[in-house]
Amino acid sequence: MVKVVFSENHWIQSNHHMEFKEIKDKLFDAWAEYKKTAHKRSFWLPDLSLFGVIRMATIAGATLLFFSYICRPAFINGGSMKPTYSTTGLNFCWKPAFWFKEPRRGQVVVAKYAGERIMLLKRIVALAGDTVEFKNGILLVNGVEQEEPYVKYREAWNLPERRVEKGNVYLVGDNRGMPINAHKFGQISTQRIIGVPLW
Amino acid sequence: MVKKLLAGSLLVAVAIAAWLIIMNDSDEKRIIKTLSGLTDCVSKHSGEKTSVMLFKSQILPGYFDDMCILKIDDSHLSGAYTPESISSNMTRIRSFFKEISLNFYDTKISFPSPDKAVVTMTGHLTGTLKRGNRINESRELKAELRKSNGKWLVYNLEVQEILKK
Repeated sequence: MVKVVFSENHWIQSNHHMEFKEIKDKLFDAWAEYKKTAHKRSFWLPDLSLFGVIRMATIAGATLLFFSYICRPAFINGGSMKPTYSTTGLNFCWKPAFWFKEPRRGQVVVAKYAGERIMLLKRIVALAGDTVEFKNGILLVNGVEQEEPYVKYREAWNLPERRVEKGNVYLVGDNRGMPINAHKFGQISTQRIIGVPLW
Repeated sequence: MVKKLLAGSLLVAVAIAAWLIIMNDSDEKRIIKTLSGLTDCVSKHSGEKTSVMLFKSQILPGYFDDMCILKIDDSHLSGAYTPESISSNMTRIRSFFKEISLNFYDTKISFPSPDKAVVTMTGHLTGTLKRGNRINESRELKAELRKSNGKWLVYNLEVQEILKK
Protein backbone atom coordinates (compact mmCIF):
# COMPACT_ATOMS: atom_id res chain seq x y z
CA MET A 1 0.00 0.00 0.00
CA VAL A 2 1.36 3.42 -1.01
CA LYS A 3 -0.14 6.67 0.17
CA VAL A 4 1.00 9.97 -1.34
CA VAL A 5 -0.15 13.02 0.59
CA PHE A 6 0.00 16.58 -0.74
CA SER A 7 -2.12 18.07 1.96
CA GLU A 8 -4.97 17.16 4.28
CA ASN A 9 -7.49 17.10 1.43
CA HIS A 10 -5.25 16.04 -1.41
CA TRP A 11 -3.87 12.57 -1.31
CA ILE A 12 -3.97 9.40 -3.31
CA GLN A 13 -3.67 5.88 -2.30
CA SER A 14 -2.51 3.02 -4.44
CA ASN A 15 -2.01 -0.68 -4.11
CA HIS A 16 0.14 -3.20 -5.90
CA HIS A 17 -2.60 -3.96 -8.43
CA MET A 18 -2.55 -0.47 -9.95
CA GLU A 19 -0.72 0.11 -13.18
CA PHE A 20 2.23 2.50 -13.09
CA LYS A 21 0.50 4.80 -15.63
CA GLU A 22 -2.61 4.87 -13.50
CA ILE A 23 -0.56 5.92 -10.47
CA LYS A 24 1.23 8.54 -12.51
CA ASP A 25 -2.05 9.99 -13.83
CA LYS A 26 -3.53 10.07 -10.36
CA LEU A 27 -0.42 11.84 -9.11
CA PHE A 28 -0.64 14.49 -11.85
CA ASP A 29 -4.36 15.02 -11.25
CA ALA A 30 -3.86 15.39 -7.54
CA TRP A 31 -0.94 17.79 -8.04
CA ALA A 32 -2.99 19.93 -10.44
CA GLU A 33 -5.86 20.05 -7.97
CA TYR A 34 -3.44 20.97 -5.18
CA LYS A 35 -1.94 23.79 -7.26
CA LYS A 36 -5.41 25.20 -7.97
CA THR A 37 -6.11 25.72 -4.29
CA ALA A 38 -2.55 26.36 -3.11
CA HIS A 39 -2.97 30.17 -3.08
CA LYS A 40 -5.52 29.81 -0.28
CA ARG A 41 -2.85 28.37 2.00
CA SER A 42 0.00 30.65 0.93
CA PHE A 43 -1.11 33.94 2.49
CA TRP A 44 2.14 34.38 4.40
CA LEU A 45 4.31 33.06 1.61
CA PRO A 46 2.53 33.94 -1.64
CA ASP A 47 3.68 32.88 -5.08
CA LEU A 48 6.00 35.31 -6.81
CA SER A 49 3.38 36.06 -9.42
CA LEU A 50 2.50 39.64 -10.41
CA PHE A 51 -0.60 39.48 -8.23
CA GLY A 52 1.42 38.15 -5.28
CA VAL A 53 4.01 40.90 -5.59
CA ILE A 54 1.34 43.64 -5.86
CA ARG A 55 -0.43 42.21 -2.84
CA MET A 56 2.78 42.07 -0.79
CA ALA A 57 3.71 45.63 -1.83
CA THR A 58 0.22 46.90 -0.91
CA ILE A 59 0.35 45.24 2.50
CA ALA A 60 3.88 46.54 3.14
CA GLY A 61 2.93 50.07 2.00
CA ALA A 62 -0.26 50.15 4.07
CA THR A 63 1.63 48.89 7.14
CA LEU A 64 4.34 51.50 6.69
CA LEU A 65 1.77 54.30 6.27
CA PHE A 66 -0.24 53.12 9.26
CA PHE A 67 2.74 52.89 11.60
CA SER A 68 4.31 56.13 10.32
CA TYR A 69 1.37 58.50 10.01
CA ILE A 70 -1.42 57.05 12.13
CA CYS A 71 -0.17 54.88 14.94
CA ARG A 72 3.53 55.32 15.54
CA PRO A 73 5.31 52.88 17.85
CA ALA A 74 7.34 54.44 20.65
CA PHE A 75 9.49 53.07 23.43
CA ILE A 76 9.14 54.81 26.76
CA ASN A 77 12.51 55.45 28.35
CA GLY A 78 12.47 57.55 31.49
CA GLY A 79 10.50 57.99 34.65
CA SER A 80 9.12 61.52 34.30
CA MET A 81 5.53 60.22 33.96
CA LYS A 82 5.65 57.82 36.90
CA PRO A 83 3.39 56.35 38.20
CA THR A 84 0.98 56.93 35.28
CA TYR A 85 3.51 55.30 32.93
CA SER A 86 6.33 53.02 33.94
CA THR A 87 9.97 53.82 33.26
CA THR A 88 10.19 51.56 30.22
CA GLY A 89 7.71 50.00 27.85
CA LEU A 90 6.21 50.00 24.42
CA ASN A 91 3.38 52.30 23.48
CA PHE A 92 1.92 53.80 20.32
CA CYS A 93 1.39 57.43 19.47
CA TRP A 94 -2.15 57.87 18.12
CA LYS A 95 -1.81 60.74 15.67
CA PRO A 96 -5.43 61.27 14.56
CA ALA A 97 -6.19 62.55 18.10
CA PHE A 98 -5.32 66.09 16.98
CA TRP A 99 -6.40 66.00 13.36
CA PHE A 100 -9.68 67.73 14.17
CA LYS A 101 -9.28 68.65 17.82
CA GLU A 102 -7.07 71.01 19.77
CA PRO A 103 -4.99 69.77 22.72
CA ARG A 104 -6.83 70.05 26.06
CA ARG A 105 -5.61 70.78 29.55
CA GLY A 106 -4.97 67.58 31.51
CA GLN A 107 -4.35 65.48 28.41
CA VAL A 108 -1.25 63.27 28.19
CA VAL A 109 0.42 63.96 24.85
CA VAL A 110 3.38 62.93 22.75
CA ALA A 111 5.52 65.84 21.52
CA LYS A 112 8.50 65.93 19.19
CA TYR A 113 11.60 66.87 21.16
CA ALA A 114 14.62 66.24 18.94
CA GLY A 115 14.22 65.46 15.27
CA GLU A 116 11.73 62.81 14.28
CA ARG A 117 12.75 60.11 16.71
CA ILE A 118 13.05 61.59 20.19
CA MET A 119 9.68 62.40 21.69
CA LEU A 120 8.37 63.54 25.04
CA LEU A 121 5.49 61.98 26.93
CA LYS A 122 4.04 64.68 29.18
CA ARG A 123 0.80 66.12 30.47
CA ILE A 124 -0.60 69.47 29.32
CA VAL A 125 -1.14 71.57 32.44
CA ALA A 126 -1.79 74.95 30.83
CA LEU A 127 -2.78 76.41 27.48
CA ALA A 128 -1.73 79.58 25.65
CA GLY A 129 -2.44 82.70 27.66
CA ASP A 130 -2.55 80.86 31.02
CA THR A 131 -0.09 81.61 33.79
CA VAL A 132 1.85 78.77 35.40
CA GLU A 133 3.58 78.72 38.75
CA PHE A 134 4.86 76.16 41.27
CA LYS A 135 4.73 76.91 45.00
CA ASN A 136 6.15 74.26 47.32
CA GLY A 137 5.33 71.58 44.78
CA ILE A 138 1.76 72.77 44.17
CA LEU A 139 0.90 73.75 40.61
CA LEU A 140 -0.98 77.00 40.17
CA VAL A 141 -2.59 77.82 36.83
CA ASN A 142 -3.92 81.36 36.52
CA GLY A 143 -3.27 81.71 40.25
CA VAL A 144 -5.53 78.77 41.14
CA GLU A 145 -4.16 75.68 42.90
CA GLN A 146 -4.65 72.59 40.76
CA GLU A 147 -5.84 69.26 42.06
CA GLU A 148 -3.71 66.66 40.40
CA PRO A 149 -4.75 63.17 41.50
CA TYR A 150 -2.24 61.62 39.08
CA VAL A 151 0.71 63.17 40.96
CA LYS A 152 1.80 60.66 43.61
CA TYR A 153 5.35 61.84 44.26
CA ARG A 154 5.92 65.47 45.03
CA GLU A 155 8.93 67.58 45.93
CA ALA A 156 8.81 71.21 46.96
CA TRP A 157 9.20 72.69 43.48
CA ASN A 158 9.22 76.45 43.23
CA LEU A 159 8.94 78.29 39.94
CA PRO A 160 7.99 81.95 39.55
CA GLU A 161 4.85 82.76 37.58
CA ARG A 162 5.15 82.85 33.80
CA ARG A 163 2.68 83.15 30.95
CA VAL A 164 2.29 80.53 28.25
CA GLU A 165 2.94 82.18 24.90
CA LYS A 166 0.58 82.15 21.95
CA GLY A 167 0.75 78.89 19.99
CA ASN A 168 2.28 77.03 22.94
CA VAL A 169 1.12 74.70 25.67
CA TYR A 170 2.79 73.97 29.01
CA LEU A 171 3.92 70.39 29.57
CA VAL A 172 4.90 68.80 32.86
CA GLY A 173 5.44 65.15 33.77
CA ASP A 174 3.45 63.44 36.53
CA ASN A 175 6.58 62.51 38.48
CA ARG A 176 7.32 65.56 40.63
CA GLY A 177 9.40 63.50 43.03
CA MET A 178 12.65 64.51 41.38
CA PRO A 179 14.58 67.80 41.67
CA ILE A 180 13.05 70.50 39.48
CA ASN A 181 16.27 70.87 37.46
CA ALA A 182 16.33 67.16 36.61
CA HIS A 183 12.80 67.23 35.18
CA LYS A 184 12.25 68.26 31.56
CA PHE A 185 9.20 70.49 31.43
CA GLY A 186 8.07 73.81 30.04
CA GLN A 187 6.20 75.40 27.20
CA ILE A 188 6.37 73.94 23.75
CA SER A 189 4.88 74.83 20.39
CA THR A 190 1.59 73.06 19.65
CA GLN A 191 3.05 72.20 16.24
CA ARG A 192 5.36 69.77 18.02
CA ILE A 193 2.48 67.88 19.60
CA ILE A 194 1.88 64.90 17.40
CA GLY A 195 -0.59 62.71 19.23
CA VAL A 196 -1.63 60.90 22.38
CA PRO A 197 -0.42 57.59 23.78
CA LEU A 198 -2.71 54.75 22.72
CA TRP A 199 -3.00 53.49 26.31
CA MET B 1 49.20 44.96 -27.91
CA VAL B 2 45.42 45.49 -28.22
CA LYS B 3 44.88 43.81 -24.86
CA LYS B 4 47.42 46.15 -23.25
CA LEU B 5 45.76 49.17 -24.83
CA LEU B 6 42.34 48.02 -23.60
CA ALA B 7 43.67 47.41 -20.08
CA GLY B 8 45.37 50.81 -20.11
CA SER B 9 42.19 52.58 -21.30
CA LEU B 10 40.19 50.79 -18.62
CA LEU B 11 42.63 51.90 -15.92
CA VAL B 12 42.48 55.51 -17.15
CA ALA B 13 38.66 55.37 -17.19
CA VAL B 14 38.58 54.00 -13.62
CA ALA B 15 41.05 56.69 -12.48
CA ILE B 16 38.94 59.45 -14.09
CA ALA B 17 35.75 58.08 -12.52
CA ALA B 18 37.44 57.89 -9.10
CA TRP B 19 38.76 61.43 -9.48
CA LEU B 20 35.30 62.68 -10.47
CA ILE B 21 33.70 60.95 -7.49
CA ILE B 22 36.31 62.18 -5.01
CA MET B 23 36.78 65.70 -6.32
CA ASN B 24 33.22 66.55 -7.29
CA ASP B 25 31.52 65.99 -3.97
CA SER B 26 28.33 67.93 -3.67
CA ASP B 27 28.16 70.62 -1.00
CA GLU B 28 25.76 68.45 0.99
CA LYS B 29 28.29 65.62 1.05
CA ARG B 30 31.08 67.97 2.09
CA ILE B 31 28.95 69.36 4.92
CA ILE B 32 28.08 65.84 6.07
CA LYS B 33 31.81 65.01 6.00
CA THR B 34 32.59 68.11 8.08
CA LEU B 35 29.97 67.17 10.66
CA SER B 36 31.12 63.57 10.66
CA GLY B 37 34.72 64.70 11.25
CA LEU B 38 33.48 66.90 14.08
CA THR B 39 31.71 63.99 15.80
CA ASP B 40 34.83 61.83 15.40
CA CYS B 41 36.92 64.52 17.10
CA VAL B 42 34.49 64.86 20.00
CA SER B 43 33.99 61.12 20.52
CA LYS B 44 36.34 59.25 22.80
CA HIS B 45 36.73 55.53 23.18
CA SER B 46 37.55 53.93 26.48
CA GLY B 47 41.33 53.91 26.97
CA GLU B 48 42.06 56.48 24.28
CA LYS B 49 45.77 57.06 23.88
CA THR B 50 47.30 60.48 24.51
CA SER B 51 48.59 60.61 20.94
CA VAL B 52 45.01 60.18 19.60
CA MET B 53 43.76 62.85 21.97
CA LEU B 54 46.49 65.23 20.80
CA PHE B 55 45.78 64.45 17.15
CA LYS B 56 42.08 65.16 17.61
CA SER B 57 42.77 68.41 19.42
CA GLN B 58 45.02 69.42 16.52
CA ILE B 59 42.45 68.79 13.79
CA LEU B 60 39.33 70.01 15.65
CA PRO B 61 40.01 73.75 15.02
CA GLY B 62 39.97 72.99 11.28
CA TYR B 63 36.18 72.53 11.41
CA PHE B 64 35.44 76.02 12.75
CA ASP B 65 35.51 79.51 11.30
CA ASP B 66 37.80 82.23 12.74
CA MET B 67 35.15 83.09 15.29
CA CYS B 68 32.37 80.69 16.19
CA ILE B 69 29.33 81.41 18.34
CA LEU B 70 28.13 78.61 20.59
CA LYS B 71 24.68 78.78 22.21
CA ILE B 72 24.05 76.00 24.71
CA ASP B 73 20.91 76.86 26.70
CA ASP B 74 21.87 78.78 29.82
CA SER B 75 25.26 77.10 29.99
CA HIS B 76 28.36 79.11 30.83
CA LEU B 77 29.88 77.54 27.72
CA SER B 78 27.80 79.81 25.48
CA GLY B 79 29.76 82.57 23.80
CA ALA B 80 32.04 83.48 20.91
CA TYR B 81 35.16 81.36 20.57
CA THR B 82 38.20 81.03 18.36
CA PRO B 83 38.75 77.54 16.88
CA GLU B 84 41.72 77.04 19.21
CA SER B 85 39.72 77.88 22.33
CA ILE B 86 36.95 75.50 21.21
CA SER B 87 39.58 72.80 20.83
CA SER B 88 41.13 73.42 24.26
CA ASN B 89 37.69 73.53 25.92
CA MET B 90 36.73 70.31 24.18
CA THR B 91 39.96 68.63 25.33
CA ARG B 92 39.14 69.70 28.88
CA ILE B 93 35.55 68.41 28.63
CA ARG B 94 36.69 65.13 27.09
CA SER B 95 39.10 64.63 29.99
CA PHE B 96 36.11 64.37 32.37
CA PHE B 97 34.80 61.39 30.40
CA LYS B 98 35.91 57.79 30.36
CA GLU B 99 34.14 57.46 27.03
CA ILE B 100 31.94 59.73 25.01
CA SER B 101 30.14 59.43 21.71
CA LEU B 102 28.44 62.11 19.64
CA ASN B 103 26.23 61.33 16.66
CA PHE B 104 24.22 63.53 14.36
CA TYR B 105 21.13 62.31 12.54
CA ASP B 106 17.89 63.60 10.97
CA THR B 107 20.14 66.10 9.20
CA LYS B 108 18.45 68.73 7.03
CA ILE B 109 20.60 71.11 5.00
CA SER B 110 19.49 74.32 3.34
CA PHE B 111 21.51 76.94 1.47
CA PRO B 112 20.37 80.55 2.04
CA SER B 113 23.23 81.63 -0.26
CA PRO B 114 25.81 79.64 -2.28
CA ASP B 115 28.50 80.04 0.38
CA LYS B 116 26.32 79.62 3.45
CA ALA B 117 24.49 76.60 4.80
CA VAL B 118 22.06 76.06 7.64
CA VAL B 119 21.92 72.56 9.08
CA THR B 120 19.29 71.33 11.52
CA MET B 121 19.91 67.96 13.08
CA THR B 122 19.53 65.83 16.15
CA GLY B 123 22.62 65.47 18.28
CA HIS B 124 22.82 62.35 20.42
CA LEU B 125 25.44 62.39 23.14
CA THR B 126 26.16 59.31 25.20
CA GLY B 127 29.01 58.79 27.58
CA THR B 128 30.33 57.75 30.95
CA LEU B 129 31.97 60.24 33.23
CA LYS B 130 35.14 59.22 35.02
CA ARG B 131 33.22 59.31 38.30
CA GLY B 132 30.80 56.76 36.83
CA ASN B 133 27.67 58.76 35.90
CA ARG B 134 26.08 57.83 32.58
CA ILE B 135 24.99 60.53 30.14
CA ASN B 136 22.43 59.95 27.43
CA GLU B 137 21.08 63.15 25.93
CA SER B 138 19.46 64.02 22.62
CA ARG B 139 18.92 67.59 21.52
CA GLU B 140 17.95 69.42 18.39
CA LEU B 141 20.83 71.45 16.99
CA LYS B 142 21.19 74.20 14.44
CA ALA B 143 24.55 74.77 12.79
CA GLU B 144 25.46 77.52 10.37
CA LEU B 145 28.42 76.97 8.07
CA ARG B 146 30.38 79.21 5.74
CA LYS B 147 32.28 78.06 2.67
CA SER B 148 35.88 79.13 2.78
CA ASN B 149 38.39 77.94 0.16
CA GLY B 150 36.11 75.06 -0.75
CA LYS B 151 35.82 73.96 2.87
CA TRP B 152 32.68 74.26 4.99
CA LEU B 153 33.41 75.78 8.40
CA VAL B 154 31.04 76.08 11.35
CA TYR B 155 30.53 79.66 12.55
CA ASN B 156 27.40 79.23 14.63
CA LEU B 157 26.23 76.24 16.62
CA GLU B 158 23.24 76.33 18.88
CA VAL B 159 21.22 73.90 20.92
CA GLN B 160 17.58 74.59 20.10
CA GLU B 161 15.37 75.45 23.04
CA ILE B 162 12.32 73.24 22.57
CA LEU B 163 10.99 73.34 26.11
CA LYS B 164 11.06 76.78 27.70
CA LYS B 165 10.59 76.73 31.46
